[in-house]
Order: sequence, then structure tokens, then C-alpha cells
Amino acid sequence: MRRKPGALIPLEISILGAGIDLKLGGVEEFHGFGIAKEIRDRKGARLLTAHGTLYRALGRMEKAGLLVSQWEDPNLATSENRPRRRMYRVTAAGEGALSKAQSARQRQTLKLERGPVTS
Amino acid sequence: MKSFTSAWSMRLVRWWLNLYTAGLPSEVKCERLAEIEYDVWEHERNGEAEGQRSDVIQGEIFFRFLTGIPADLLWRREQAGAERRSKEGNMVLKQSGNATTSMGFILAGVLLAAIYMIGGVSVSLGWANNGDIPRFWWAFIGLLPGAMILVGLWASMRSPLLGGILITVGAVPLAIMFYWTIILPLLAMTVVIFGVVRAIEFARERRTPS
Repeated sequence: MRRKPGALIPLEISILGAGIDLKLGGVEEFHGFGIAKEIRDRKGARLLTAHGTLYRALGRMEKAGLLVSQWEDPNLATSENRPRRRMYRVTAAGEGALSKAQSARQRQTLKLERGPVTS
Repeated sequence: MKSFTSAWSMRLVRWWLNLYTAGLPSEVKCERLAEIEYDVWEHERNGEAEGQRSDVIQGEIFFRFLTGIPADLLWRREQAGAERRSKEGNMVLKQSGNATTSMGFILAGVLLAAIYMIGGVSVSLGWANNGDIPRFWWAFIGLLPGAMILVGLWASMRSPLLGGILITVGAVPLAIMFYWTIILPLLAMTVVIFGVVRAIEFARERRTPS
């Protein structure tokens, strides 16, 4: 099933929500594992998002302008004896898309709570 | 590339990554590998810091790898599409043909190997009917051809001919044995045909001066 242009899927909402929460907590940038862990902790889930699912979503969101990313300095990674990291940041467009998705979700919840309209 | 971890899960993730990114530009391939390599590295460190047992951490990484396979394949298809759109003329047709062939080849091969391996293990563990053959042998009968197909897929990245031979030897005998399932001979035929087409494409590319 194709989704509406501009509509976010639950994983994208989770990524943006977790990214914004991290930003509010003073962490401007995040990497893939960091966001997967944040999403797991927020949901109280046991398992982390699968590699393929997570990085495909991050790439798609970057293409849509909801996130921006940059590779860190390779010297830093080498000096710390670990692989290089790609750091992501939520953009203003990402924040806007999340608030739009959240208000759409609220409207839908209210509609469901009210039940079907009977004449 | 420097190896940061020697755990089997990382080796498996790397193997799979090399397989599904085969034929893509090296920049795209390296970025994908680096990103997932860091993820696995951080997952291991984080698990150790939380006091998790090593086998639990490896199991979690394996589960994340396994459940992400469909998304990896979709990502690969998107990348092939993006590459196709960015090129023009005859080059486009040639590369899109290669990408589609590679994708179908990998997909059908992995699926067939998975069916063989899961089927063999299921019978050997007593989850399915084993007929007259002792259960132990069923694990062997399923795992060996499955492993041959997977090794063949990997080998076909460097030597399509060797890969094709391994895949054919792994895929065909069980498909003949279980011809009545229809799906197994169909899948085996698909893998072998894709393998042959791919080997021809590679041979042509070698002969054509760039």
C-alpha cells in the first residue's frame, strides 16, 4: 500500500520524537544505534529496531529533508579505536512534520473516542 | 577496512552486506558498511556495559540482522533505481539489467537456501515427518546444500562461474528429490538461470573495453 506524500510511518515518528527528546536533553546529534536504543527505551520494548529497517528509514528521512547527517572526522574514530560514526540531526522540517503527524493522530483518536456519527 | 570486532555476528553482517551491496558504487557500499559496523560495535559495547552475556548480545545482533533482511533488499532496489536514474543512454540499460539480475539472483538464492536449511533442521529436530532416512542425516541434507548456495552467492561476487557451479550443485539435487513440491524446482531453476545470466553479463563486461 502506498502512503500519502508527506505522511510519516510509526518508525519515522519514533525517530523524530526520540531525536527531538535527545535535543531537548542537550544532545544535538545522534547515531543509528543511539536512536534505536532511545526508541527501545521510550517504548519499553525488549529488542532494538533491525539494522536494515533502521538505516533504510534514516536514509529515506534524510532524502526527505527531515534529518541531516554528516560523517565524523575519521581521525577521531581511529584515535578512539572504533569504526566511524554517521551523526544525524533533526531539521526544522522534521520538527514540523512530527508536530503535524502528532496532531493528525490526536484528531484521529478523538474521532475514535466520539464513535460513529448517528443521524 | 580495519576489523573492530571478530565476533561471528559481525562477520555474518559483513558477509551479508557485501552480498547485497554487490555491484553498487564503492562509496555507497563503504558508507553502508561503516554505518552498520559502528552500530554492531556500539551494540556490543553497550551490552557489555549493561552486564549482558556475550551470547545474548550476539543473539540480539543476529536477530536485528535477520529481521532487517527484507528492508536491506528493498534498500538495494532503491539504490539500483537511483543509480539507474542518474545515468543516461546505453549505460542505463546495461546497469539496470545487471542490478535487476543481481537482485533476483540474491533474493531467490537466499530464499532457497533458507528453505533447505530450515527444512533440514526441522526434520532432524523432529518438527516434521522424516520418512525412512535417520533424522541426523536430514540436518546434513538440508544444511549442506543451503550452505553451498550461500557460499556460491558470495563467491559469485568475484567469480560468477565458480559461484554458479556451487549454486547449481547446491540447489539442483534437492529440487529434483522434492520435485513434487513445485516451489523448490521452480526456485532452483530461477537461481540457476539468474546465475547463468549473471555469469554471461560479467563475461561480456570483461570483453567490452570501457
